[in-house]
Amino acid sequence: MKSIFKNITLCVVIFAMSILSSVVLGKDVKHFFNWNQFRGPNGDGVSTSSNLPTEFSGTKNVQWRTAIHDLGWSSPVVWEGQVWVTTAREDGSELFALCVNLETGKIMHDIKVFDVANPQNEWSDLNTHATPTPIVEKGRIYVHFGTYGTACLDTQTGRKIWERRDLNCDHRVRPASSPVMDKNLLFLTYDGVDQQFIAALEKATGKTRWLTKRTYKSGQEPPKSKPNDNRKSYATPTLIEHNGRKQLISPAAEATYSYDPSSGRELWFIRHGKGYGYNVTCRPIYRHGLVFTNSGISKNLFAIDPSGSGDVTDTHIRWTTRRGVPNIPAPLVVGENLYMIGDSGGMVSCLDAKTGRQLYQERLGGIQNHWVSPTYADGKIYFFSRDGVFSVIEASSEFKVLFKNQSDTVFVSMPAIAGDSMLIRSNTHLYRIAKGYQVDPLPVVAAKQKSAGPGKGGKVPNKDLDALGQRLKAAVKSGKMTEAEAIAKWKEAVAGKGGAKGKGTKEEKGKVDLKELAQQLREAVASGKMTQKEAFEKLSEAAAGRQPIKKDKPPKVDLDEYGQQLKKAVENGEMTEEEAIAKYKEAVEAQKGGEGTGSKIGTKPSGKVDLQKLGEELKEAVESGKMTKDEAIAEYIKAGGSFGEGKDKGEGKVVGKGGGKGGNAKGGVKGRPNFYSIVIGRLKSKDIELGEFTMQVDYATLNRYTSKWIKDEIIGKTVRVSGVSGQFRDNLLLIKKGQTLKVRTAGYLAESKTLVFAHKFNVLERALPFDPEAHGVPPKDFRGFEGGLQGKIIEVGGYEVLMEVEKVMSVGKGNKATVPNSIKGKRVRLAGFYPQYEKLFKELRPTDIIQIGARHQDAVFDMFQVQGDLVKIEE
Amino acid sequence: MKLLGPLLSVLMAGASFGASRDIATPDFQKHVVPLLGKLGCSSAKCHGSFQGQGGFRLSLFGFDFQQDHAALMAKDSSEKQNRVNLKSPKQSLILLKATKSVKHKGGEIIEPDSWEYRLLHRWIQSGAPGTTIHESERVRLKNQPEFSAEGIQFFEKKIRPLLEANCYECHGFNERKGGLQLNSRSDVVLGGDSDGSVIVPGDPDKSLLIKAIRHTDPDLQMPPKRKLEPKEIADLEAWVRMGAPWPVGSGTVPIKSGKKLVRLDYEPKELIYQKNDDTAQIRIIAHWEGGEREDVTDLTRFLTKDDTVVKVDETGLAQSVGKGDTHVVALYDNGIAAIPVLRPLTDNQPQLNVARYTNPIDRFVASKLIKLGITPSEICTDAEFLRRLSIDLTGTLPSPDEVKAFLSDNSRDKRNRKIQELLKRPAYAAWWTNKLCDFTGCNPASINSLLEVATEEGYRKASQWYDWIYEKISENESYADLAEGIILANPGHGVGQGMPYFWTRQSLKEPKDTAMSVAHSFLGIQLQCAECHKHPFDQWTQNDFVDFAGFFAPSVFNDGRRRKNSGNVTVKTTKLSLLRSHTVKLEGNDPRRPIMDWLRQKDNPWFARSFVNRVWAGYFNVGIVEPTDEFTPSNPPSNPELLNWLTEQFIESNYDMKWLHRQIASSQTYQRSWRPNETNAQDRRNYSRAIPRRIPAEVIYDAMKQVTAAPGKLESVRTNLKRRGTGHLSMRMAGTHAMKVFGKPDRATNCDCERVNEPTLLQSIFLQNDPLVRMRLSESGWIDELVKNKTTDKKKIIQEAWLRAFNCYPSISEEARAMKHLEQAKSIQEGMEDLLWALMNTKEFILNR
Repeated sequence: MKSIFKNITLCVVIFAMSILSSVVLGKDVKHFFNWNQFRGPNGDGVSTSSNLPTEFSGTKNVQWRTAIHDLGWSSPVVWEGQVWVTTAREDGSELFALCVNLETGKIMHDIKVFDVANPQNEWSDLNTHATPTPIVEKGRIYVHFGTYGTACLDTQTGRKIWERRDLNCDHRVRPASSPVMDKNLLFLTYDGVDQQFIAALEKATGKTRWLTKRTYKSGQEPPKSKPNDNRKSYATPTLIEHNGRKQLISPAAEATYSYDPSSGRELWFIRHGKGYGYNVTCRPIYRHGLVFTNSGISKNLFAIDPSGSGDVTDTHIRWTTRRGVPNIPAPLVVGENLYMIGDSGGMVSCLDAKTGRQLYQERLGGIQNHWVSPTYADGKIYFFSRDGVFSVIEASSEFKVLFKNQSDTVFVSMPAIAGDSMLIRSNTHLYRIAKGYQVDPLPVVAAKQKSAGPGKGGKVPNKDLDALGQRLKAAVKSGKMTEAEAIAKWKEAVAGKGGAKGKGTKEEKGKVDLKELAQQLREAVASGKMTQKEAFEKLSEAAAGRQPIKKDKPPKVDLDEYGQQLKKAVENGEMTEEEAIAKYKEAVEAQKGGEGTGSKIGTKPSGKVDLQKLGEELKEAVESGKMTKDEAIAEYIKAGGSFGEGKDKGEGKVVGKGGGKGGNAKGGVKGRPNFYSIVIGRLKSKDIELGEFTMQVDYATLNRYTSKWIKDEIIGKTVRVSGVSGQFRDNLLLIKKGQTLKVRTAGYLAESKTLVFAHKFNVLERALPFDPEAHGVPPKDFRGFEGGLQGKIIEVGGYEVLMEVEKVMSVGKGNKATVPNSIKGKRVRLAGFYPQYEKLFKELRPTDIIQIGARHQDAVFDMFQVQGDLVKIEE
Repeated sequence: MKLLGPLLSVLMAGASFGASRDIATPDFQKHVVPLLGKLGCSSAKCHGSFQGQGGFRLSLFGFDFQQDHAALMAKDSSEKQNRVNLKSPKQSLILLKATKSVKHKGGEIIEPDSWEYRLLHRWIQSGAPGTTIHESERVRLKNQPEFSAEGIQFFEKKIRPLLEANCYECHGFNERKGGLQLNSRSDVVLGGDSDGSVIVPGDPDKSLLIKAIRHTDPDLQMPPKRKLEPKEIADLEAWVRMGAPWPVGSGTVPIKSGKKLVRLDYEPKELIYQKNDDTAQIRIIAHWEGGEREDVTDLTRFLTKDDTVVKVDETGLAQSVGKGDTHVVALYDNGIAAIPVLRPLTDNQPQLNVARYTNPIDRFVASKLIKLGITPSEICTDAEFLRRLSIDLTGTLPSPDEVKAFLSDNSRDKRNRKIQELLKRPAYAAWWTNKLCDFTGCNPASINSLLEVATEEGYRKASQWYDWIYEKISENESYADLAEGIILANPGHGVGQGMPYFWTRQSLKEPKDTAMSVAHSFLGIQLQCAECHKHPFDQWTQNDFVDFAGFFAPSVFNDGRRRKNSGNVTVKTTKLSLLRSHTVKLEGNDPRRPIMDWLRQKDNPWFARSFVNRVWAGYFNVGIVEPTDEFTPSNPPSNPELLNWLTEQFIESNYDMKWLHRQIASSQTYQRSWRPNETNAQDRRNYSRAIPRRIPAEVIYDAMKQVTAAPGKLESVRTNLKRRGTGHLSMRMAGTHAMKVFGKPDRATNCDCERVNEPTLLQSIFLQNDPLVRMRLSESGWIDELVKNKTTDKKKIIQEAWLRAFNCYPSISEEARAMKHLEQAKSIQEGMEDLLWALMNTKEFILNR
């Protein structure tokens, strides 16, 4: 997980109800239990409720569930029968507050709070525009959206009482700090890359009472690509009273400060210390006379005596540790113990809060990424992972898991506890869970996608790519996003373009065939003759179908219909949006193949143009120092680019993925098509000085970026390989004629039958004689597999992994392998680690055991694509 | 007075100045800052570290007078006391701490009532004044009107914080975006690159600054990140309306320089010792602009360049501890003095008749040798000469035939004729092209275009780079023209009249990288340290660096390589200092023409000199200035007269490279034997003998091929540049094991030290075992031919082997040993492989001597 953004997340917490009520409640008085703010009434994630459900599966113990439109990671808050959440258009253009009836789950208010003319960092998938959790009190709710604005709403009418939109900063990755309040004041945190301050507004009027700038600068320099990154933070403050002194404890990027809540005067601060630390998301906890807080990505946990003044780093930190400290989730203190959950891997640590002594550190197990801070109630601690794992452990000095279940949701928001029920927000729905209820399974399975599915209003802006490019450039220039993010976003848009097209809502006329078929299939499903899945497969076949039913039909129409069907499938939870897009693209390409180069297709053959543009973008990024060359190259390869010389640009260079499938005539190929492949063969001759050799090719790997025709052309033939330089000449020197070698190539010069040695991610070494199994050529019965695998790494390099499979963990929906277990004990080659697993990939070593999702997108290739999660189990 | 007796030294020391110690009002720049430097306060370990120490930070090695003064005047954060207490000076924390009257981590630095204490005390007593403004700054400030106290107060209260918070990130301190600085009122009035006045005092509507902050013009919106608050805008408007009041030279307004130190004089001019423990007192006299002079010995830091020859204490008392010659370096303010130190190696006066030498090089060298009591070695043998010359001049071993012909030639001028002959060979151009590629950073990886994976663009371009230089050298184009072709090349174009890849390297990301690269390649100067702080042992300050880097700022150096930000940027005339040697006016967008003009000036202190020195080092393995890219006053030449003469003559010859090679190679100094005599065994820097050195990586690679090549291929092995280590393979082979072992530079950093010529164990192992060596032997065309032809004349074979590997005939005993081995060998194949292997593993092969 590369992101910085992890941090953003909110440390969501829930809080139990207000203390007074909790003891007495029964179901009838439930609505008095108010969980009014981020991590609950005390901001510490501790509830006094009991009798909460300890199981959650998506259906069991669900009292009601309500879809929340658009996207927001703010946590629900509860006040007297009302549940409030905020949400935002995915592009940040509109911000909403929703009020849901606690008892029925019905939406009572859906209020558009703000329009946003220029949303910050429109393209981040590491945070939403509605991440700060609102804070509610009798009659009023304060909804806060960071730099976009803050509003006070009347909870009964939904009317806006006041608003402020003039407190601004550049969050870089959208806002996340939640508001807190005391009797009269509302405290707002703005730790942007440009400026950093905390402001207190009068709750009654919204007027500024005070505004205090952050003072401490560590002088640590962030990487050039992320200017001032070390200034930004996403934490939420906590109000405490220590020995009669009221304090607002507010973590910022490089220091945690204490302020006098009435005047904003800085009382003390601690430096977060050496190392490049920022992105603090924690809400501090005050217990045992100590303040517990962590320092974001530098992963320090501090226990601070809040009685000092000035810089108390050297004097008032009672203990500190880095062991088991997460970036994102805040700690939980129950009794004498402090609990933490690691960001990845589900490692739970339990410490003695007063001394910092570790009592245990244990894994919850499975694939788990935790952004949600733990919540306590009734002797139990609740964890929610991004991967949908819901776990409950006993709150004691011994590690004991009481329950663990996987659901199809994504948890980033913290739960809220209301009486003996719990409000959980997934990325799509709000659930009220309480013992003894049961609902039908959700038709929505599209939860892996961050959006709730299309049709809810313009989420995937189908904007012109050029315009998007321009905006991205501007965004990078103005520092709103990094180059790498922009490129990722841009690629996403390029990839999504095909899909988005399909999702258009315009009704097209005259798409008889598929429409009819679809209708028939629907009926078949309704009458139980086939499952929806089967029906869908049929439809897919027809659409992608290599044979359009009526040849004279303009392909555009077919595709649009297909798109409609895909869209429905996504809505119905048949497939994720991503899969739908892939399917759609498949169909587009199938048709292209059928027609040669396929210029008739409504979608422009985007590959060429887009890649050129990407190339330019990357070039600029490198020249401006925003990315390293290696990164740019990896990006480019990833995007399917080839590396012809500048001159060749636009002269019939075969680019991207389109070419091969329909048996594309290679006659049209000029220049140097990309052939990013590992080629295995026997050395025939070599010229060390010129860095050239010839080999008889036994095998060449194929992944989705390479052109199959090249593989077909070279297998069994003798080809020349040129361009070996540097230390690889030493390897070549050692390989004797007749010996088998393995070489990474980057391109192919068709005219001279010459493969070009890849200077990046380079491989040139002796190899055992080619053996399909040893090189991870998948067995027939395993082709088409999708699911989770566990295995040992044999080889790592070039953002690819060769893995020996120990077991098949799970079989995914899209699996087409006839015998998934046929892979046991055999090897698979996995690609696609860049960029989402870049960081973890760099830590992978041969013999590591990993668990990973794999998908064989096209059975013609030998390589599998990584998807889902990657976890290193042991080294 | 050359010989200073110990007694005299002591007297001198006793007399030492009072002057600076007891002057009534010590000056901040002249006395306080140097004293803090000398006491170690501003060192990297103490308050000069970037974090400071105990909350107190001084500029490293002290050259930021404003910052240091402000730091001294500030309250200490923990003690809540004034570092400088004007009311009761003795209570100043700096005095209490330094005398350890209060806790001080650094311990006791000075004793109470020492002169150092008194100096600081008196400075505080006199009001602890900061740096006075330099004359040139005064001129800029002269026109500044007087402002009312209210105006100044308004500025201090409202405007200065506003500027600091919103503008200084890009336009303050050393930043100069768009050519604009807002450090002082004159800066503001002077303006930046944009047309129009930044402020027109009294008229906000005509002031660009106001226009920019109002965000009315879509192209000019400042600050770029956000619009200022209406109140802030109103304040700035009001301030301009008041006439833009600004206090004159207040302490916190950064001023670029204080007083100008013209030079440091030193006495005595030279320290000549006779025996151990002889001492001499050095005195340092600072000359300030305006004629002021002052003895600053007490405030000067002293260093010895060679502590086996001389030691020096903090008072400037220098003591002889060994024979030889070196320098004592004195540092004060931004001045440096290097005082020559010499103690003869022998008592004997060498019988050298300087006038006898016809080559001036030999005269300059001999003068120095006489002083040192060194008698130089004899002239080397013809065989030695030919091998040495071939390697140094052409990077190639002579062929057997060439050796035979040369040895049998009895004419007196054969050595000079050989020099002439070799200078005409392609191998000469190839070898020196290879060297120039080293100096200028011709590295394929660096000039690869960004998305280069599948093609070999980097190698193609590197080859073009090589070829371009090669052509100039073979045509003996003047070095200045060659440099101009690189410096003025249009980065938007390919290779042609000019060679632009120097500028298009990926490593030149920032103007400062470009500045450092230019300084290294063409000036032989390392600017790295000055990037962040004053150079500890050099004259360069950060201002020098910033000014020089300013030449390469994108807004100025804007000629196609970088995309232009916005249409027509009018570049105003900018005055920048070229490392204090010269100031040029920049007009137009491209600063390189004025830089080139400066390089071509006869009095340019580095351009010709650094090249001459690098060529010299190519022949003697040690530069007259060594390291060859450290031209600084603290690293003086071992023989300044020699370097001066060569430089002048080189410029005089219109930078004729062949003249330079000829002049050096024909000198007796170059042609001396490596065999030392009694007097010169210790000498490594005065050229009294040849010093055996390992032959360079590329030459070894080619030499191994030459030893084993088939006779018919021998010539092509020597001349086919496409397959020579000193030719095109130079770029391709970088990074291979062989080249790494023998220290071929990657050309990735700006340092001549990248090439390593030291022998290592790994090199021996390489020659014994490496697959490359085994391949050369097993695939030897010569041995194949011997086998094929069933050659039986072993004596001839042995002779040939010697001529190939050592470029001389074998001695009788060597021949006998080789013969014995060949006769015992199972086959000629095996015997010859053994023999050639053995020859390649000898010192004679691997060394040039």
